[in-house]
Amino acid sequence: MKLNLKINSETKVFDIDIRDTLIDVLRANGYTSVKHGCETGECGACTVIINGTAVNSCIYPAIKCEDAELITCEGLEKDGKLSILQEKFVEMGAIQCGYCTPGMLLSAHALLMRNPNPQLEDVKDALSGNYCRCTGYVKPVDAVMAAAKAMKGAK
Amino acid sequence: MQYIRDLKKYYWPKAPQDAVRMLMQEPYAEVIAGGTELLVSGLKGREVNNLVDITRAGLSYVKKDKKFIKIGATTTISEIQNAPLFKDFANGVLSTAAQRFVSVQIRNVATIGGNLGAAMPSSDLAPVLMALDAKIHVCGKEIKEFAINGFYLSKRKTVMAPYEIITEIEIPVPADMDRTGCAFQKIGRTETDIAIVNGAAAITIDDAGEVKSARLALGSVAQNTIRCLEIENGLLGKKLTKKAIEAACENIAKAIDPKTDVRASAKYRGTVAKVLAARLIEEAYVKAGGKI
Ligand SMILES: Cc1cc2nc3c(=O)[nH]c(=O)nc-3n(C[C@H](O)[C@H](O)[C@H](O)COP(=O)(O)OP(=O)(O)OC[C@H]3O[C@@H](n4cnc5c(N)ncnc54)[C@H](O)[C@@H]3O)c2cc1C
Ligand code: FES
Ligand code: FES
Repeated sequence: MKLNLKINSETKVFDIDIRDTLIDVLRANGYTSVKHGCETGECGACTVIINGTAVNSCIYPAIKCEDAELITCEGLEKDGKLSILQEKFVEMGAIQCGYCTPGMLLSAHALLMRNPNPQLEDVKDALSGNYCRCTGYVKPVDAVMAAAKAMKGAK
Repeated sequence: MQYIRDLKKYYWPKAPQDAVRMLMQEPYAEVIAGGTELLVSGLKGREVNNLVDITRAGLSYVKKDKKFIKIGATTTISEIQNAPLFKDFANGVLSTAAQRFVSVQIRNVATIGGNLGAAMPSSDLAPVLMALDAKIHVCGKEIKEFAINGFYLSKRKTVMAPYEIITEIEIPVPADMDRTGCAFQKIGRTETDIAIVNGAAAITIDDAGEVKSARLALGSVAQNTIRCLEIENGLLGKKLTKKAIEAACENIAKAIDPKTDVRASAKYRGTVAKVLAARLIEEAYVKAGGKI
């Protein structure tokens, strides 16, 4: 069957099986920033943004995305230039192996879309569903705080 | 990964009555809301060919009038956490419980109706709704209303027929709000992990500081969330002290039937339940204006 949606500001039609989870449809169509982790809604590696909110795509039926607007990590950079949030992750050493990074970025991006002036607690809450086996959490949290500050400056 | 191997049809009813009709017509049909329970562990062994998705059936809302707060069944945990109404109402217990509910990603999708429909003993909302004496509205061949206390029969089982769905949760606004205190607490491996033990309390006092009414509910200590009626009765008419609270909770072992799982042993749950019950009563009593 056909699935109509908007992804990273592009209108798309995907061929899906009624039984597909969203992560499989996205990866099959080239959005490989979306990572397989636990597959049970615990780790956040598969996080995508659906209609402005962060969601675990591993436990989300693809069919639920009919007419939805999605953002994946591929959509964060513009014309080959990283977003401020991505820059801060790089600058502040918030990435080691990088497996958790797309999910972290999208959880943070969803937070900043809704709340451009987050408190430390808001950032910790927003990232609490993203597990990292390498850096720990201090640097990603610092990177999001720094990005929020830099984005205010950029406006 | 295909989340349901034998899935053939996926329905989007526009109203609860349509959903019920589809559930009655189709054999092997199941309701899906957020799917966070259903896709992870909900189907165990059952054959399902049809899913009836109720998230576009007009059941996402929070309303308040003088007497009741009404929450539509497909309202998400995030919507409850962020609704301005729940920041103040009943000392913010619903908002607090929602904030301790796993991760933002799950909260954005999981619904209150799915949380109650899943009938798991670890539900974070069920103890709060029991303490607040909520009613559950159900749509089937006719519209029914159940008190949440008595809604559960056993683990994963409620009083609902397979074709019935929860449409709304109704919370009465306490008549003497100023003298009512509410509390939610959860003990887990982390702030937001599924509870080892959770619970909620609502206590109303009179001018003299004596307990006029008390409701205490605990989760993860039995097949389903339970009301602790004996403890509640032990508080009535009393001005509470630490000693009085301890005495009331003394025989909690009789009320609970904890189990061992990956998160904790039955023995540990029993010990924690007693401590948590006492903390909940104290917190609710103090928030009601009582002095300890
Ligand atoms: C990683 C993870 C962590 C979790 N942590 C917690 C936690 O900390 N606290 C907690 O309480 N829960 C937790 N859960 C459980 C789950 O997220 C909740 O129970 C959630 O509220 C279910 O809602 P849903 O809309 O996703 O339900 P669904 O998965 O769509 O449905 C769950 C069940 O209820 C039925 N159902 C759904 N809606 C209705 C309705 N309106 N009427 C009748 N039946 C209905 C479905 O048929 C199904 O059997 C966790 C789950 C996961 C995957
Ligand atoms: S892969 Fe989806 S939450 Fe872990
Ligand atoms: S950087 Fe390796 S898992 Fe987070």
